[in-house]
Amino acid sequence: MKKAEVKFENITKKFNETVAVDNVSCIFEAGTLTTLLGPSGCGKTTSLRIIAGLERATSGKILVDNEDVTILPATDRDVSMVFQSYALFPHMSVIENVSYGLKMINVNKEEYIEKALETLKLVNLDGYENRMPSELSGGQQQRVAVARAIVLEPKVLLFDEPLSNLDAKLRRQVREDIREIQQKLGVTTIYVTHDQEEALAISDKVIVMNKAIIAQEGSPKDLYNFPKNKFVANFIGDANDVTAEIIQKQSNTYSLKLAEMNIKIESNRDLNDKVSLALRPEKIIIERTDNSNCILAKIKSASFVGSSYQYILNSKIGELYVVSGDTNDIFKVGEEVFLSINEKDIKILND
Amino acid sequence: MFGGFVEMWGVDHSFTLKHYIEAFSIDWVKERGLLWTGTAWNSFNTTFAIAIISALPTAAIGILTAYLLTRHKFKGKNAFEFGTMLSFAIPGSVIGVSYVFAFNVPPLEITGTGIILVIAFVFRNMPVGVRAGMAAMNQLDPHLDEASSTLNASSSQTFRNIILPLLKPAITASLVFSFVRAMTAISAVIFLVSANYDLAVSYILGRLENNDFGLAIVYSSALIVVMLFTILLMQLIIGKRKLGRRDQSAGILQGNLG
Repeated sequence: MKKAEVKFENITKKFNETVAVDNVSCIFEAGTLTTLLGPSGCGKTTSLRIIAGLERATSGKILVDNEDVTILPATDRDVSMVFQSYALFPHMSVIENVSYGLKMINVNKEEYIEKALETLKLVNLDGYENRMPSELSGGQQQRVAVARAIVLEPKVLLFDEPLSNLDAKLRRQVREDIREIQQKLGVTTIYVTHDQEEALAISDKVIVMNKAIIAQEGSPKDLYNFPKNKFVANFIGDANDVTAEIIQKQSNTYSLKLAEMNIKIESNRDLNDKVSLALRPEKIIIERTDNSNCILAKIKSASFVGSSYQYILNSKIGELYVVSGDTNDIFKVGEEVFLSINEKDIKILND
Repeated sequence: MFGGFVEMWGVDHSFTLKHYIEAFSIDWVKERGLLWTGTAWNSFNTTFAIAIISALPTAAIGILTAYLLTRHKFKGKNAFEFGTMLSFAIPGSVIGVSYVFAFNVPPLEITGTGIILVIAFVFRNMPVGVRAGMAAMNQLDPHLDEASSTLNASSSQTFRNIILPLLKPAITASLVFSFVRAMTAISAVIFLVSANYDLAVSYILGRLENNDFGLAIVYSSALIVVMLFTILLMQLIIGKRKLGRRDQSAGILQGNLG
């Protein structure tokens, strides 16, 4: 299958006065799976539709395989899309749906039937070719939609929240299937979702969008471990945003005071008196004894969610959300405890 | 129906077929072949032909307009939509008179011809085609068009392969409606008919004025039967959309259950 790089150069899209995408530049590398992640209304789906040719960018350029396709309509682009609603043609059978794209470019009948059957096999739907879409389950319809998109061997494959209509159990299975097919074909894939777990699980690279701009881009691990700002820290996994006071500065090592805890942290940035930090709820350790350098806190609420306990605690630096994997030794509401956290797990945020 | 089989309704209730014979008799004369000797045949054939001829452009223009209005954005869309409704708001007799005057002078001198009847019916009934088309189109997921266009189909291919087949119910509805309306319309056409192009309703009206109730009833009964069969035939020709063995709501339910 063809591999192509997709490049956004200063893309802006306005709907009347509303800016949906604001001067975004980024690269979707050839043969990789990149996820556009963000809350609803952040511009991710609009970006995807611009790549598909279903929306025209107000300004800026879009390159596919170094070729400027900014003004090409969807019909003339070598790009296929899997829609959130699947958009299967309800009056056509599975095989007619899958072979539709080939028929439109005048491939002869024998060839397109053979190719469609081959693709159906790839998505594990052989034997279903004569069913109507309404006779398939949600998961099967989704696979037909994928087959219909990949049968054309497009340069770029687009997914618009493909799992949002599936139940939670099926979601994990289908996202693995999508990843497997993408790896097998090696096609450049751009995937839109608002589910951070889904994004982290399948992507080579994640682009987090917020309010029409890119908040941060990077590998799933980088985004989780080194969020640049509050938005990314909160959107990817959970985080407690806290503010620490800077006590002392020695070259690029800062001494901070976070409630009762003293911490040393390194940063190349020039910081004055206060700094925003992100604390992951699963990295905070709750103890009954004071092992020095701890934050004093009181349990406000505790809830059991099966694999873990979720606590909300009151402390000097505000409410903290902590997840504990220990479901045997439980802290009671009102109990006074001591919190500690490894200095390596404290992240400095830009804002 | 009963009134068609008696001598004179309300006066003499003895059974007779004479009204039917007067209206729809057919004779076989050796030298001249089949002769449509019934007095109703002339207006009946004209009405039927004009109703069929006008039903086709009514549905076609209606559906195309609906497609434009629901799927494309352009300036003055709302005004255009309002405009398509206007011909429905004007009383039929006003339309009839204005058509007579508008097309009585060159370049379009068509008063008294069949064409003016067809045009009047098309524009008078089009709003229903537009509305039926828009209602059906709004039910279609716009992603279907988009999916088709990302799969290499041009917009005309999309319209032919995706939209038209899914609009079959709307097409049948507007065909049937405009056909029935054209068969039975009275207000607009009363001014537009001529000796050559007389229509069923104005003929029936004429019979009534002459106290010829039996014939009028016979003619009306015949119209009802003919319209019924034509509607059934239309549904047969256009066909139903095929969406699978289960009905669609059951399909959606199944989809949600996974």
